[in-house]
Amino acid sequence: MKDESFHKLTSEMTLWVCAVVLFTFVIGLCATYVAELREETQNAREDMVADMKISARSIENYMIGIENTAKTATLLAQKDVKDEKTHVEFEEKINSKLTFYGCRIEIFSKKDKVEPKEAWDYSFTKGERHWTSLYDSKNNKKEVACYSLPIYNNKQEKTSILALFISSEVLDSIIIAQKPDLGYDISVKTAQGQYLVLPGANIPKGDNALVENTTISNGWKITYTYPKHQVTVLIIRRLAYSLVWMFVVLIVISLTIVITIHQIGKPYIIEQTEESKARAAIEKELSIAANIQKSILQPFSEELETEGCKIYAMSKSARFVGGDLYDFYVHNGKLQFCIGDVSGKGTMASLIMLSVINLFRHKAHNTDNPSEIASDINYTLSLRNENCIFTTMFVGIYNPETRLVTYCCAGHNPPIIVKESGETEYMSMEGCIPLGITSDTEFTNETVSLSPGDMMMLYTDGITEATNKEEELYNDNRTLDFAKEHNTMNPKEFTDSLISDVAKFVDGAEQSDDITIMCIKTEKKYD
Amino acid sequence: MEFKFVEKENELEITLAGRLDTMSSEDINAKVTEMASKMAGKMVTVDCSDLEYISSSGIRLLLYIRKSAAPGQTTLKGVRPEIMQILKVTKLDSMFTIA
Repeated sequence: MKDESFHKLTSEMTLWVCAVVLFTFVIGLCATYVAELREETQNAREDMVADMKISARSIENYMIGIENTAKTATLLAQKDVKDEKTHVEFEEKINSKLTFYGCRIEIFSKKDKVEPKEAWDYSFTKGERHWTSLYDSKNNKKEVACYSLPIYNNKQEKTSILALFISSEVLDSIIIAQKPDLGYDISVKTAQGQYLVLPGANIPKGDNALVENTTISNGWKITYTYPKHQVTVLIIRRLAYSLVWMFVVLIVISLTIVITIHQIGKPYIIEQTEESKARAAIEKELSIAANIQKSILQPFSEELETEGCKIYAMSKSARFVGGDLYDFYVHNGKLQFCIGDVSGKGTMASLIMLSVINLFRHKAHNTDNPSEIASDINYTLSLRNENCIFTTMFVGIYNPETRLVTYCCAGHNPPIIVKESGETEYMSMEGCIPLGITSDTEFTNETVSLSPGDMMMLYTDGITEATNKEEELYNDNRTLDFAKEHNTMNPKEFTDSLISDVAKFVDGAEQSDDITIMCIKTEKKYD
Repeated sequence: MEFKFVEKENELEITLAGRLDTMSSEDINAKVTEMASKMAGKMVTVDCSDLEYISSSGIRLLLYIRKSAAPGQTTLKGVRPEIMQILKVTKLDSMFTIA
């Protein structure tokens, strides 16, 4: 049982240790994680800005590419384009080369009808080059962006305008291609504030977005707008890998601790197991010895009627085996009985107890004299008794014809005579010293007369010295009071009731000594 | 359970205090056995003033002390009434000098 308890204790301890370690780790990791979160957020932001610059550079390079194309086309047009026919041919020629840019070039002269009108006016009035979104006559924004440059003749006169039209879809696709996995929105405009194009996306403003402006060298202002929930997702993704690694490390450390504890505890568990086995073997042998002792004591299941009286006895050891004894024997029409208590408890006392019982039984066959029985037992017990083990004993012989009990009390507790008439009292006697002390002890007989219906209650001090949790004794007075209150009971009923009363008194306290009771009740009429 | 041994020239005084039951008597038994040879031929006084309880194992110890000491030279001192009652019931009060 103890081995199982130890396994359970070890397992519980291991679980508790792991739980404490894990809890400490989790708390520590959370604290570290929170601290890292700020730094990681800053790092993420810096990385985002770095990514922005890279993507912005790509966008700018594209825009510069478009501008350079327009400038080149403009220079070429300056030389080649003189009239309407020529400029149409030029446009076709240039446009075929601009396919991959997603652009087309048109050349306008002042007299041309320009759609939309605003772009034309803007081109001639606002500066050398500009980007703009175009609107139709109904002021609806057209899905193109326009980059225009004036064309001058050799007299430096502005003769026409070369307009490079870029589909917003194409521009959107270029810008979108720059977006990382977590999308952010990009708006591109010139540093002078002229809008190139705003991609068709809902851009959250204010506190709902993280906004970063990147101004690249050629005057482009590229704005990146991160919705804040996207920022959180981005940071969590960045931290997710570290979380996974930390979890793996945690598991490894916990497993290491568990395995270490089991390995360290293993020899102790093995030792405990072997001790438990040895203990179990001893307990088994003691259990066998206890059964043998009980059988030697002739256990009573019911009262026994013999020689004009009823007898009942019980004995309960404090340990597996004990030193209390009782016995009875009918010889020549008389009832010979005894009760005894070997000093001490347990195995030592039980060995002496067996000797005493056997000696009693041997002598009881040969004599009706209690003192002779006591003397004989005493002599044998006192031989080589270096440890001064003594035995208290009450030896009696009841003659049913005379109702006289002849007895020899060797240091034993005085029996109680329980009278139906109510005069219940302890027997008064001279007595002798216990058996086994000196080989030459003289033992003497005494007598007591029993009236019909009287009961002689013999017991060992396990009754009177039964101790409760408050270390109070059941004591002689309580025993006598009980006998007085239950003076009409038969031996078995009386014995069982007394045992119950003692059990109630001790209230679960450990049994301190062997308990034995023997009750002999004379019949009211005996012929 | 507390016990003390004081050895004098021709006398040995043993002081017992507390409860002398099966468990505690085992502790003192080893010491008494060790002192047995020193008790031979000497008067032994056992101070029981603070002895609250004695079981049969404790009485056995007293008998062992008596056996080891000079014949008839074992005195029990300061015996409490409850202990005395036990000695009287067992008729062992006659085996010691009660002081």
